Amino acid sequence: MEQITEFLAMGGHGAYIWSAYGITTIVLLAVLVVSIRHMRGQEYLLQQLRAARRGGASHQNELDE
Amino acid sequence: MIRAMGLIIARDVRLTLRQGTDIIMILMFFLIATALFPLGVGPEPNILARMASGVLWVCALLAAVLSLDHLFQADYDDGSLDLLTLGPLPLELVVLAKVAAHWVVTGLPLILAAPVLALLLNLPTDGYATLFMSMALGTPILSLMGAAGAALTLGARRGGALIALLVLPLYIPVLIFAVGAMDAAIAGLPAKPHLLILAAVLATALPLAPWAGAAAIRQSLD
Amino acid sequence: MHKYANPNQFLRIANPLLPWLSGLTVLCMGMGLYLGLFASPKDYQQGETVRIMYIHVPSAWMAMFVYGSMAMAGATALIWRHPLGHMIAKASAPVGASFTMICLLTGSLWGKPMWGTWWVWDARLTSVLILFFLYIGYIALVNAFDDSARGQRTASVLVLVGAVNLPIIKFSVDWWNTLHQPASVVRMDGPAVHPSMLWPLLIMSIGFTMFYFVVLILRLRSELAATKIRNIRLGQAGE
Repeated sequence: MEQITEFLAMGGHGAYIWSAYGITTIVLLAVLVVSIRHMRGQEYLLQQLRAARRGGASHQNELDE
Repeated sequence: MIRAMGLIIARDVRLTLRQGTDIIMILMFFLIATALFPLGVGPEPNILARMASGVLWVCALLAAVLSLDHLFQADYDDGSLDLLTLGPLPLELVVLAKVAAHWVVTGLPLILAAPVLALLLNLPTDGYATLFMSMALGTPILSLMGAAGAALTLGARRGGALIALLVLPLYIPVLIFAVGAMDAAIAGLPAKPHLLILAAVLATALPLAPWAGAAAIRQSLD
Repeated sequence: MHKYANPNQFLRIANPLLPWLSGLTVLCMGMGLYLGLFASPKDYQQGETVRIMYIHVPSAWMAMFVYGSMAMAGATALIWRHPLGHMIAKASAPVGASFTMICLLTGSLWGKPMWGTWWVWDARLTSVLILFFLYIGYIALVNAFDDSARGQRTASVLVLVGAVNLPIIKFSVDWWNTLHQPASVVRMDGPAVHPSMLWPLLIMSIGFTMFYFVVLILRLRSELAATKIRNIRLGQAGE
């Protein structure tokens, strides 16, 4: 137990060290989450549009991509 | 080719002079922004003398940025930029000519106004010659880099604020070496090394900025 | 070469790599954290705060590496007129800006206990701050156009201008700093790097690089989907 407290205190500079690591984690996670969500949203929208086209104008299938 | 460039310069200068308000607006901005500093930090002559070189240059940078959104916008809107692109003169030289015209109508007035504003800020007497030299070398760089920034934002949303965001970081070397030269002169040290580096920055910007400006204009007309 | 410059082709190669890269990211970052926080000794001068170095220095490297990659990608795209390079530059920018921000914030958190102040106008800090401004300028420009392909091409010109200017800015800031040497700062050089500190540093850097590649692929997929969506919509509007 004492070891853990000592580890967390980091020789009295714990607040600085842990907030540095905390900020890094938060920023990197935020970048990752935003990127994944955006990608999912765009790819979903693309599927929807393609499905709609296939339903509406099937003769144009060949022109996709 | 030089004749064609001369024609563009003359046309741009004439257009700006006919309007007249642009130059006055820039100069008034320079004056007002400079006058804010004594009001902000207090009228103590020694403090003002210590800050004068930096304040003058920061205000000159901001005034230059303010003048940039007119550089290509009118020509872009009325289509004459398309004509200039299709014309016989390489687009890089067109940009260079427009930079020269911009310098005549903003850089030159800033150079002439700076000593007067320096009086208001109690600039030490030793600084005036270097103020003139640094302005003469620095303001063309502001026009060059600014033209690249103005060309990049053609057709963009929120053009004006965007130019400031792009261009001000690129102006930092000018600010540092120009103020360095003036502070050296005021301290009785040689200002020449600073001025030489400023000249080197100008020599770098001279080919780079027209290239970037022309590349950006081509993207905007594609 | 040209075959791989096709974004679809590129993703066909990149997508299978994604799980591997993600695994490497987690592995390297986990190892880096373990080595940095537990297994490495404290510095004899800086004490425990030296542990901030294991994220601060790799993020500084990433800030420069990502900007360099953007400049290369933008240059190739402008020269060979391939859209992939523009897309890579656009997809990289937010990652680079994030690493630059991490570098600035962790530097600040390191500076407070070491120098007694959150910020000094030291040459390196100032240069990184200006690099952050360049990232912000790029992101603002790339998103300022209604036609996103146009924005990407224009912003690639900007990133090249920035890359040419970066050495000049760096030089000017160093010059400026020698004129105004801040008196409070005793030791500007990092701690002398001992092998036990070098390992966490290197492993963390690899982890950060892998993280960049993972996010890059994800964002490229977004960009590609967005392009296809736009084409479909343009096609519909034309019918």
